[in-house]
Amino acid sequence: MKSKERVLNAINRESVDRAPWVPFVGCHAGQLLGVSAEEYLKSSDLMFDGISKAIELYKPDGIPVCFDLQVEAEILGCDLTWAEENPPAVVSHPLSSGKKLGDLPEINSESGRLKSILDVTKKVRSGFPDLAVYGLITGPFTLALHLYGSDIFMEMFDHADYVKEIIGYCTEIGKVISKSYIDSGCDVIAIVDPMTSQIGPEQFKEFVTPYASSLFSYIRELGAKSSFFVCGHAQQNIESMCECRPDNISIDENIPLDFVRNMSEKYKISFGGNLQLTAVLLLGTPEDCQENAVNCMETGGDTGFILAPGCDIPYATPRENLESIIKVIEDPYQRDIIKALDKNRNMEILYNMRDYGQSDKVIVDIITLDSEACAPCQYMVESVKNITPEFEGIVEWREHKIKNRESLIFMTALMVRNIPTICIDGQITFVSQIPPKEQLIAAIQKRIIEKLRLKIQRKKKVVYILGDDKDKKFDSEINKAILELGEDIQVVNVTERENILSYGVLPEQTPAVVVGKYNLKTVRKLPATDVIKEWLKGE
Amino acid sequence: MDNSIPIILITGFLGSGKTSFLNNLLGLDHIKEKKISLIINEFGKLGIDGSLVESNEYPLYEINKGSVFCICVKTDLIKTFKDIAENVKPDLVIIEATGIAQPGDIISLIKDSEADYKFRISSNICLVDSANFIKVLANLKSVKEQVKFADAVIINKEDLVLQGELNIVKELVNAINPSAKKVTASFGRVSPSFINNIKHRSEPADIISCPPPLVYAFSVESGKKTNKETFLKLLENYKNNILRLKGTVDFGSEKCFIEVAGKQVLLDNKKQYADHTKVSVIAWNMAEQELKNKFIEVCGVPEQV
Repeated sequence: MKSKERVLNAINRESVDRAPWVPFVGCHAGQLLGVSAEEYLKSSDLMFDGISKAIELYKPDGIPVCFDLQVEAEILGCDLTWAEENPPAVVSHPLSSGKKLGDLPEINSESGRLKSILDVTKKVRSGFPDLAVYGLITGPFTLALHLYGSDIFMEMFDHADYVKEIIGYCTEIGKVISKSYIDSGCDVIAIVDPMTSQIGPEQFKEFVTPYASSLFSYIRELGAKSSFFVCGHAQQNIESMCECRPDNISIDENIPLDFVRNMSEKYKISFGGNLQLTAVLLLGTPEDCQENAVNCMETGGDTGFILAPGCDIPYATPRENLESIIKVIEDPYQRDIIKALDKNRNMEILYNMRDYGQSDKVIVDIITLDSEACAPCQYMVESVKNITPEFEGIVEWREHKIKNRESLIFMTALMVRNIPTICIDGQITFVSQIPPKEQLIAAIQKRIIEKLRLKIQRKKKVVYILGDDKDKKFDSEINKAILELGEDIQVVNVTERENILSYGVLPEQTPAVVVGKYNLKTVRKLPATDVIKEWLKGE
Repeated sequence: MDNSIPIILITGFLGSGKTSFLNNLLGLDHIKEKKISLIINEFGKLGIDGSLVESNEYPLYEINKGSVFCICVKTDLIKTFKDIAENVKPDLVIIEATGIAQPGDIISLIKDSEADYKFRISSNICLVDSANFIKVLANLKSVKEQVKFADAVIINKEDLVLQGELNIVKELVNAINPSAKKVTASFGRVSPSFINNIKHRSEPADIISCPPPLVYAFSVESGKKTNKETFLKLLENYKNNILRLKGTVDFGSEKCFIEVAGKQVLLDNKKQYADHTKVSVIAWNMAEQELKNKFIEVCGVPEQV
């Protein structure tokens, strides 16, 4: 199924082969190109390059052309302040500094930065015909706030009609821009209206519903799909949002996805979200992102759900975090692993594996999902099973299926994070790959040699001849014994009085023989005090 | 020993006096002697008393310079916390939040980023604009949350409202947050002892679930004539519930502009808000639909507007 079809099917609540993936890449693409948010959002060339790069890396089914809720405000006369790693911020409000609605400049497809954004839209459309292209516009309520400032919340009581007039004006702006986006090739128009999360349901019905409904109707008449995108604590307005009849609603992590799913089901519209932007995408690991994605997909289900971040992806989000997500979207096996690993979350580590691998045999542990149920695991187990006989009993292998709790604990104890993994004597050796036979044999042989070396080092002996062995009789006999044994033993002559005494032997008791045995206990690892005490007691 | 850096969080809607209060705070003796970092998220000319800033050389961070959008502010805040924790290491951080900030977001942000164990909220102080609180409270969710999570509420601009209105604001604040310390003030000036005795109360940051609004707003509109006596009786009967009312009522013989504030009713037949009955109401302590129905009965509309 092609990406665009996948997105549109999901929006229509028709069947899809998997959840569509629509990352809201805005100024984050600037990071991919190594430029600031300001440079990125002001350049159509950079925007096209950034979107292309994001498409290459993240393999989305849909993508917005631009995520900047200040474009319209800037054209209408708001001053902006720009930032390195954020979209710009509105810092002046023309309607609260003396201007009337009639004084504001006209807005059309040639206005301000909109012109270059539409140019980029056309290029993205023609460059990526199979992708769903999203055009984002600032919702009427949020745009009204840009034009008037925060005092609008007071004016909603004092001058409600005027506030509605402003919002009505902003709605007409929205229609002009929606048409421009659709004419440039957009498949979906997202009305992004985050400030509506600030008001309650009654105010929403009065100041948002009539205007948003009008906008969605208009978009529908033009033959495109629409999305109502509200980030923030908007749960109280979700039903009202659905009543505005968009084709899709999109929310962030502040609202439980199952709540939105149920409401969307009630109104027969599609819904999207809600990967966590800060804790997961920005600050988490690729594994965290995969886990969050799987949880969203599990909750979202397979009807009408689009996987997306909760809002504009933060500029500094590590690319590998976003790259990891497509793997769990496309590969059910990876999803199963994530789901199984999720049980790991609160597990206590019950084993201390610090000294694992001390036995005479080499132990090969294979951590799998389940070799009976999944192919990669099966191949990995077979690869080990097939070469073990060549080592004639020196190597022992074991499978640990993480569907079992004990195996999960074992996996955690060995600090294994990926499935399947081969550990050799507790050391992670092959991760998520079936090793070629030669490589596996070489790795095991290396461990055998290592163990042998350690063994030899452990059993090292020294013979000390204390005193003056004038006739070299002691020396001669000892060397003869060493030769007959075939061992590598050092012979040391000790003649200094103090040194002789340190062995507990008086000088008049010499010549004397002391045999010392070295028992190598650890290399590169610092043992606990208790362990050292046991060693010493054992000697 | 707790080595985390204390944070004083200052919240309040635009114009409530946060910056004035901050300036006063910076002038207090026991604050002046500390090494402080300031995080400002309210756009505008900075407003911080330049002499105070210069003399103490506070590291000053302006977060996203005016943006009210949560994710932009969050990512900036995370970087700021990191920089402060690693490079500045002040004795105290003071955050002046944006007017529509939800305190829970800032608190959870401290936990989400690695700043959790390096910072702690030592006090959460909310400024309330006596003159406009009721209007904003009815329309803006975060204003209620700011009061709800505050350790102390400063009911500011007391000089700009009548005592009746001030009493209602105090009653509202108390209903939202009975346990916070409260004081009325002008120009954000409060006594040092008030500041010193603020104790932080940790609340879970889960303010996502929205309880039924304490204060609500609705509008009623009608093309029919309204009996004046009946209408005024309605206002009298529900004077403890109606916090604000504004609009025009068509009494037949005259159309009057009407305003209710601080339980005082103002009628002016020389001024008109609309050419038919149209009133906006902010009320509390009574089911919204019940009060609405009363107005609908009196104003003669067959169905709600």
